[in-house]
Amino acid sequence: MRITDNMLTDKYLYNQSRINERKIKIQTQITNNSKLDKLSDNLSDSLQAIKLNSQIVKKENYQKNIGNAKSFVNTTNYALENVAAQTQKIISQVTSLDNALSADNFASINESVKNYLQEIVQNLNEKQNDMYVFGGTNFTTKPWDIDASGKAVTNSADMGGEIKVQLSANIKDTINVTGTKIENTDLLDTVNDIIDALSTNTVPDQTLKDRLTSAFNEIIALQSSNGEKLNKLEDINSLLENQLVDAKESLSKVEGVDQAELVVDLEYQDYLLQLSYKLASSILPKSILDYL
Amino acid sequence: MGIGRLFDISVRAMSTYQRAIDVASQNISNAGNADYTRQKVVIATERTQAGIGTGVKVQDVLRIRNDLLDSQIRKYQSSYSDANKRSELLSQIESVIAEPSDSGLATYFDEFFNSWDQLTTNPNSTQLRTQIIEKASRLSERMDEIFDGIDSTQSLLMQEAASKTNELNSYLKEIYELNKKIYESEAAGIKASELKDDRDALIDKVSELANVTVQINEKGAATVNIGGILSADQNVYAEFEMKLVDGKMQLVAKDNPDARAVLNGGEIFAITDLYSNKIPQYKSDLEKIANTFAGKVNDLHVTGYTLSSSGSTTGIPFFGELDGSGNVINAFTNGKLNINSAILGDPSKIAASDAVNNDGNGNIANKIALLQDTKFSELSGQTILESYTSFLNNFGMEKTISDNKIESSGLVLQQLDTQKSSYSGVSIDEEMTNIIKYQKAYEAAAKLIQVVDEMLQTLMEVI
Repeated sequence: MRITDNMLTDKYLYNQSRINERKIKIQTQITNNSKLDKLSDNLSDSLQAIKLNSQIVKKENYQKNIGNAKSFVNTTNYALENVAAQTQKIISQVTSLDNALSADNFASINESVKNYLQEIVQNLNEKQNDMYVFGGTNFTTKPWDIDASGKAVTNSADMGGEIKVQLSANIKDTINVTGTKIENTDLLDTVNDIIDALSTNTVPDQTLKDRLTSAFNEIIALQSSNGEKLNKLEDINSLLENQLVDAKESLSKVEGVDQAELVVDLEYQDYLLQLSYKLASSILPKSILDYL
Repeated sequence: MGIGRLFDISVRAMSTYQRAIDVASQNISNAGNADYTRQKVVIATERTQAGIGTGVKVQDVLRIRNDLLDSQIRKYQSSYSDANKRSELLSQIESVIAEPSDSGLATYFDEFFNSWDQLTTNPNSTQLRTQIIEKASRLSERMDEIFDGIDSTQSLLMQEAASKTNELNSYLKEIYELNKKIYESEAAGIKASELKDDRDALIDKVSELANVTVQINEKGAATVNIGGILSADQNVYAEFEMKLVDGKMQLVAKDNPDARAVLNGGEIFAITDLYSNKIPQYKSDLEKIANTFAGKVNDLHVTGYTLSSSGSTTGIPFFGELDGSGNVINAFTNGKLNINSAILGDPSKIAASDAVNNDGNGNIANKIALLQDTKFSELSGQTILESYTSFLNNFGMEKTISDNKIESSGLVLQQLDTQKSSYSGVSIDEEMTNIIKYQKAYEAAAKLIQVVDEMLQTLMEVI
């Protein structure tokens, strides 16, 4: 094969251009800390990265939802705890009535019960992010109030709405304790009846006392069920956390770079480039003219 | 036989080697000219006279060119130029699409749906409602940028097609003029090697623009065909123009618009194919995704109720607006998702609840969030993300194929160029060696004259 001057220069330039292209690619990967700068760098890996990113963002979003739900459930729990505590105080007051001797005692106990009821209603009207935690899905109407006689009255007729939140791809759960459930405990009506009895200096009968104990137990049951909800949220969160670790690891495999390997490769390409410069400087300028 | 004949032999030899040195010097001076084809002197023995040699002569000066190699180079050049131009143009769209990255459409779709999901945890939150509007606006802007980028590329293609066609026409005219000169020159028995080099370089340039076939006739003129249309020879040349036929670009002969060039290579092919087929397909795929997306969000949103503070009303589309007949219009126009202006001005008009005066009910928000994982028959049974990744796959395949073709055609082209350079290129070492050889022969012939002169002197002295 004849070797011409153009062949030497063309081949040199072609090889040099390839080395430089490789160097640019390595530099881009090092700077971006990713193998995928654009779609065509590696099509299947790019599409895989898009899908994995979408899954990661979604799971992180579910975690945010869980965070919000936990905060709501915690507020509910705190309110129920207070309601239970106040109810217990009413129970002890009612029990102490067995020893009541005078009308003054009735009035004083009645006043205490009214105060406890006010506390209960205040807790039942608790808000989280401008939402009545026991108001169902009706956030505009304050669920309960205290009337002039110190008794609890229901303001909202619509407290049964469940706030449902998507906690993972397949789990959608109710995060609130509805006002209807509170109403169903019969707590407020029972306390109202106790106030009525006390106002007429009457010791609440055993039936009323049993209703109060039963309402207290119902509140404790709601609190317990709400606590379970908190545990469930924690469990789903842990599950999501594990899934996130897996998804992030997969993403890292798809788009991650080995910086050390790239730096070594870059050094090698640089070495090849310098070698090609040296070879070119010794071969290209030489011709028979140097020896004539 | 006279001594004088020896003078003739010497003079003929000197003339032959002078001509040989001329050719070598022409080769050397064009060593750096990539378009130049080396010439080779064919030195032959002069015819004998009565069995006695009469010296040497230049029988021919050959232009060392391999037509088969030229044809192969042009074929791969067309393929390379097509892939290169295609890749360059697709790169522009690729950078607008910006995938995979945080600025890609996939991320904005995810963020939009996730913002609805977040609203379910606090359906009356103004902050979360504003977030939905913000995410929808960013999605709309991104969609608009992508369509705008694709449209800009398509309009640039129109201009580039016109400019490349003009370039093609000017090459064809020059080829015709050179062909004419070559034909006349060769017919008159004068070698037209340099003219052929110029002409062949122009044909090479034509092969960068379109698929070309070339036939060389006996007088050295080239008949050039582009896409099956006679484009230039020594008698005529064609003028092309780019026409839009049914929205598709067609390279047609100016004097006969029915004569359409069937292109399969070169930059013009890449431009016409992208303009007429690929880009409309990409736009149509994206429009289908956008329309389905806006339609499905609206279908749910119109059934929802706004917050009580804004009257707990229903029937409001999220994208677009209602016309007089209650139909949703202008949800997606000219590459842009239009968020309902009522919602833009008042986040409480986002209809997240599926019951009247039920601000804490986020069932519609939840349903809209779940659209992210819903497969739609309008998208061939795919989710929005799946359909979008299918679009990316189609686009990416075209770009990847072009990039791979650049690599493969480039490599073949480089090897063919090396072969051409080896066959037709100038080697200074070879030429200088020839010059020394011819110089020695020239000196020897001159010396022969001196010897013959001395012989004559000897004879003269005898008299």
